[in-house]
Amino acid sequence: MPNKLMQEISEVYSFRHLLFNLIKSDIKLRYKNSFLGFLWHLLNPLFYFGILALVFSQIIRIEMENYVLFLFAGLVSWRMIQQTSLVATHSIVNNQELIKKIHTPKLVFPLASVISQFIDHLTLALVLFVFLFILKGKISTVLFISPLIIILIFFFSLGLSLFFATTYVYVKDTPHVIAIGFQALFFLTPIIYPLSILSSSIEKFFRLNPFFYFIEYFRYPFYYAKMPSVELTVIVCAITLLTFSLGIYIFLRKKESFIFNF
Amino acid sequence: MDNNFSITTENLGIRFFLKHEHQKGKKGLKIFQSRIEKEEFWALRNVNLEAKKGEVLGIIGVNGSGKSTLLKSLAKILPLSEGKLWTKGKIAPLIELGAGFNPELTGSENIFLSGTLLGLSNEIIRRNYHKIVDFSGLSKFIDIPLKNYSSGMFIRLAFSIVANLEPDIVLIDEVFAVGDEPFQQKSFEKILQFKEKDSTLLVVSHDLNTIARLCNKVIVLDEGKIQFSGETSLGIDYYKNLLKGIKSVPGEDGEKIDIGSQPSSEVIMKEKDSLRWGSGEIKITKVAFLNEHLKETNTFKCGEKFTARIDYTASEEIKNPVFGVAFYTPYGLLVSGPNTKFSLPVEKIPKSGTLFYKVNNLTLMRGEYFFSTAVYDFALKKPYDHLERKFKFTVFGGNPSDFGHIDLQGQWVHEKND
Repeated sequence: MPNKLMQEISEVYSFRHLLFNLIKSDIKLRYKNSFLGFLWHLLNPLFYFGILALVFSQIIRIEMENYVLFLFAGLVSWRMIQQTSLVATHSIVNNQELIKKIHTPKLVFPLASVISQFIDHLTLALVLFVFLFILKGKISTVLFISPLIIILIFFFSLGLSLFFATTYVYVKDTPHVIAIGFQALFFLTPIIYPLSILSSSIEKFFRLNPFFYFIEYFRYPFYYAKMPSVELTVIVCAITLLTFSLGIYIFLRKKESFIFNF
Repeated sequence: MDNNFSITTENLGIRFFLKHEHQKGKKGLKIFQSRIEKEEFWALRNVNLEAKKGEVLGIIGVNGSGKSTLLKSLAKILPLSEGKLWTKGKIAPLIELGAGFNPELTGSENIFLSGTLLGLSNEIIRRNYHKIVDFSGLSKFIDIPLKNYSSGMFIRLAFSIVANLEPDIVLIDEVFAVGDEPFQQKSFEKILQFKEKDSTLLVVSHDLNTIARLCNKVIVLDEGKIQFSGETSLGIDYYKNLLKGIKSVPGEDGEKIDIGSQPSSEVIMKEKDSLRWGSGEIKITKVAFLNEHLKETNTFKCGEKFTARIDYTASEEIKNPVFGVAFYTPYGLLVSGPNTKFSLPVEKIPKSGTLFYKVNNLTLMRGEYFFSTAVYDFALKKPYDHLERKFKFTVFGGNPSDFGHIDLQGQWVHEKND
């Protein structure tokens, strides 16, 4: 397997210009033919965030310090994982016509999809940074670790995407199941509420949710403004490594037979 | 391994699993139905082939014989189920033109996308960009999205990209009918250029004309196996017999079809033969080609004297028979088919005799020619004996840069208007 991985990586490297062109055309096509173009991908989540912020701070009234910033940080990191996985699930099946006709390292398709999603997410993270000032959040040097956290989320999402994209080739119900799963997880993960509002007996179960750690971890630079604990760092790194390894393992094992199963 | 080979396969095999979905009349979700039955199916088995640099290898066979599967496995699109494959250099599959195109992107963006799909860098594509656009003749439309292209423009662009990126191995699957007549001509010339540049070409086509014009060698595939591998004209005939439903061996003696493979022009007739038919009242017993010195041969020089000699026997008295001969190119173009109906009416024939068809100045150009001969009734309806392209001869010499089959013996005149 390590051999296969190195081979795929070196092939992806030799097709790096393809990767670049795929990402470029993906981004271009997403915002083509709309008046506001690229702005939409910011406006769309921001409106959604705004609605959630309004509902939960003014109507349901979750009482905590600078709740809106707490919510925004949670939503940005959640979106990185959820949006990326949902879109990249289709990356192999949508490119089946290509895979049937030209030899390319198949990893480029999920990779291009995930990277192009992350380019959107990064601009959203920049907006979050601006909001940090507007909402008078705590600005600290911990912000410098945010790129590292985003890299961890990237590999976690890539691992999930590889797993889902592979599964989708064999089980056509995959995207439906994933969409429902993410909807449920959105409420089961402390994104719109803090973990502290839960009773300690339920909290135990909520801590089994791997997504929770990424959301929480992301809040350290943007909301808590302090260094995350070593323990949390180890957990996040371990989940990332495990998910990515599982994703790439299944992908590499199955990629040869994709063509027989479209 | 020989360094000259750019493609070598060893016992290559591709296996598919055919999924039979049995519907037993049960309603309900698929998931609850009994297991889908899988049947093993070998699309290709024990394929051994080699192709050298600068060689054009034709692959022919009926539908479903495994031609496209073979190209796809050589292009590394399909994983091998068994055997080995070595390739050397950049492979450009012209299997389905425009496979990598995105209709929403402009022509120019698609040039880069398709080029990088072949594993090239953006720099190389940029360097060849103008060549590609010029070749396609689409410079006016290069900045509009592909969805607004006509299908002809689409294919032209696709072909231009691959053709101008100088691949080492080109895999071509039925893509000759590309665009209009001038563009077809241009693409054909481009393919010939590949050959000169020492690229290796593998060509799948049902158009035997194309195969005959392009290929040095052909393989005939049937039911996933190579049935014939060798010289183009022989392969084409082998394939034609296959189409007629005669599988590889006409006689029961297990002998391979001997068409054209005889060292001498004389062919000993066999009674049972797929290339021979007729009622048999008159029988052609021997056919030979004679040169100026009336020596039997099967090689002639352009402009030489050529005689075809046809011996026959007749079992009963036949009135007004018509003898005929025909000359064919290897891919089946009838060059000439003269007969005796009006040129030399034969009222009655003896028990046996010999006919000569004499040509004083052989105007056939360089190449191989197949020869048929037959004897029919006066209405040319009933064959007494017909020998279809059972004989072959070669013509050499002439001007090596001229093309075609017939030398019209025209003269070039150049008037200078200074």
